[in-house]
Amino acid sequence: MYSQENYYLDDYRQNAIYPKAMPYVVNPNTGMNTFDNNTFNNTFMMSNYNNDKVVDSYLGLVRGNMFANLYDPYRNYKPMEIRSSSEREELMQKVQQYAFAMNDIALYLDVYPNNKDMLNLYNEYLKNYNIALGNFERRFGPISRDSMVASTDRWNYDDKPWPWEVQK
Amino acid sequence: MWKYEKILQYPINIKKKDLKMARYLIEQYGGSNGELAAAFRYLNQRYTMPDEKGKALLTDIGTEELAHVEMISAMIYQLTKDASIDELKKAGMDTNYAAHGKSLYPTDVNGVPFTVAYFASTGDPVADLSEDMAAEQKARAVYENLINLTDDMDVIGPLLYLRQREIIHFNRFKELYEEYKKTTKK
Repeated sequence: MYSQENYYLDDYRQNAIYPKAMPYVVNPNTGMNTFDNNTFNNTFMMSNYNNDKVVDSYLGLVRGNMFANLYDPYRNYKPMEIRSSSEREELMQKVQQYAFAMNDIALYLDVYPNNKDMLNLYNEYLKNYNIALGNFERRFGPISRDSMVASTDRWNYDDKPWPWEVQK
Repeated sequence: MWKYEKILQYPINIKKKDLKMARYLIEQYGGSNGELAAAFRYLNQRYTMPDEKGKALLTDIGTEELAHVEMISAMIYQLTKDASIDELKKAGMDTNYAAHGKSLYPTDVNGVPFTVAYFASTGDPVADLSEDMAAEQKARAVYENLINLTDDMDVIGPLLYLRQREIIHFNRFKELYEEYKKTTKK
């Protein structure tokens, strides 16, 4: 289904150091599983503009790099697999994945603002991010004071844990 | 303005106390090519960028560096949590303790306090961007040294991530540098 030349995720698939089934989030509006399946297709179909192939958001986050052509590993180190050991961590990881993808694509768009493919991909991740953020915040409280999930009954913005504390 | 989000850019969950490693990591907090210096170097330089590309890129990378300050701080915090006085002495952190207790204090790895002298700005976009490219390369090299100093994967994971961010930033600065070199002929 994917053309060979765009098969830049082979290291990701063959090494099997990552979970086979990626955790997914259910869209509360449609009840459907969203994102990575969609996003994978979009990323795979990215045009080869400037050689700027984009990897999926999980691989991007663990590598710290969404751009296959700029990925430059250190010695024989592999990126650390991120294992979510709780529902909180799992939902947070989705927020981190999409926020990361948006951030890295934004830096690209800052330099190449006329790349329409990249802009479309940014917007795709923005949608995913908003859904993932809602899923996290409805369950575990706001991560910013002006969140859509407001502190109505009581001030829950300061609920623990803070980001620098071990997240369990 | 800036908004705070109660979430790290990349997850950090260090289970093993390691005061020596924490001491080395302080270099990337308050050292000359650390994250604090990077954040404010870029956020200061953005005002003299010649076009919207430069203003946007320096704003966005400067902002991301603030998130990296938080990551390095979180690592130091987790590596030193619940340390005893004896452990602080053994790791050579007793002098820091004498002056600052257990609070985080931005210095380089040898205890030299952070200084704004690290914010190199000339007002010349080509000179500033080549400064930024060098800063990213130096930070990448320091991250490699730091990776060599530990075998704790909970520490190596975030360091590999931060190292990779230096590579991305270097490349984006370089792309803009090449463009400005062509377009800003005096």
